[in-house]
Order: sequence, then C-alpha cells, then structure tokens
Amino acid sequence: MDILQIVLFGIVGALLLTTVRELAPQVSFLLTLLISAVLFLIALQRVTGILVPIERLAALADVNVLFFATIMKIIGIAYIAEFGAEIARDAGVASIASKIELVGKLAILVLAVPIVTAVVETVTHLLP
Amino acid sequence: MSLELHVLFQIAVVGIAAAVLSSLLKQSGRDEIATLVTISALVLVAAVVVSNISHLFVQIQNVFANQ
Repeated sequence: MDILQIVLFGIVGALLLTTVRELAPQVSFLLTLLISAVLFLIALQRVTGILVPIERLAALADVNVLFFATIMKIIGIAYIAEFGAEIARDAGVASIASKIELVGKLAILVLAVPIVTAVVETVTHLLP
Repeated sequence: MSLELHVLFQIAVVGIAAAVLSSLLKQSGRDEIATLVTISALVLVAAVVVSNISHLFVQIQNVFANQ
C-alpha cells in the first residue's frame, strides 16, 4: 500500500506549494525541486528492483556486458536529463529545458554509436 | 531515503515565516533587514534541497553507472 503514501506525499507537496506560491515564489520553486527529487528517488528504488533480474537474463543470454552497461548509462542519462528539463520547464524557462534535453540526447547519441557500429558490422558479416 | 514529509513541512514553514517576517519588517520601515531575511531563508531552503538533490544524483550513479 505504499503507492498510497507516495501519491499522498505528492498531493501534500502540491498543496503546500499552492500556499507558499503567493507568499514566497522562490521558495516554492525550491519546494517543487525537492518534491520531484524525492519522488525520483522512490522511482529509482523501484528501478533497482527491476534491473537485477534483467541483468541476470542478459548474462543468461550471454549478451555482451559492454552493451548492457552502455544501455544502463543511457537510461541514467535519460533519467537525469528528464529531471532537469522538467524542473527548468516548471521554473518557466522552457528554452533552458529544451537545451537540457538537447544535451541529454547528444550524450545518449554519443553512447549509442558503438552499439550501432557493432550491429552494422554483424549485419555486413551476414551478407554474402 | 524514505518519504520525509517533515522536510516538506519544514521548508514550507521557513518560506512562509520568511515572507511574513519580511513584510512585517517592510511595514516597520527596515527594508534592508527584510531583504536580508528573505535571502537567508532562500539560502537555508536551497541548502536542504541541494543536499537532497546530490543524494539523488549519487543514487543514480550507483544504480546506472556501477562500473
């Protein structure tokens, strides 16, 4: 039943936000930052529960560890970039949010290059 | 890190207290002290939030980049 706790945590946070928004707008922005950080942490604890079996499956299917590690990094980058972009968008500066997303995409692209080359190489080997 | 609701309430209380105090100080004519109070409240809240955010980022690194 802890999903109820989490949702109520968000609702209480939102309620606090509405009160603090008129009185102290800067503090309300920091409050949103804190609430999203805590909720992201909780989501992160759930993700760790998922990662272990997936890792075992990857080892079972003898997937190259390098690929799995890069995929994990890519997920991490996406995770942080989305967090930063939402916070910036919440603060009202959508331009900065799009810049953060751009940097996140580029970082993911950089990490994805070796995997793509590996796939292309295997395909070219298969061709006659 | 479990669900710390009290941190939320602490931050809300600091924000509201700072707002009330600064408006009180503004009424009584001491404007510079009012700005000082608001800034110090902001710094306090920022310190708490930054420590939580750094905790989050450390957790992310542990989970995703564990090489």
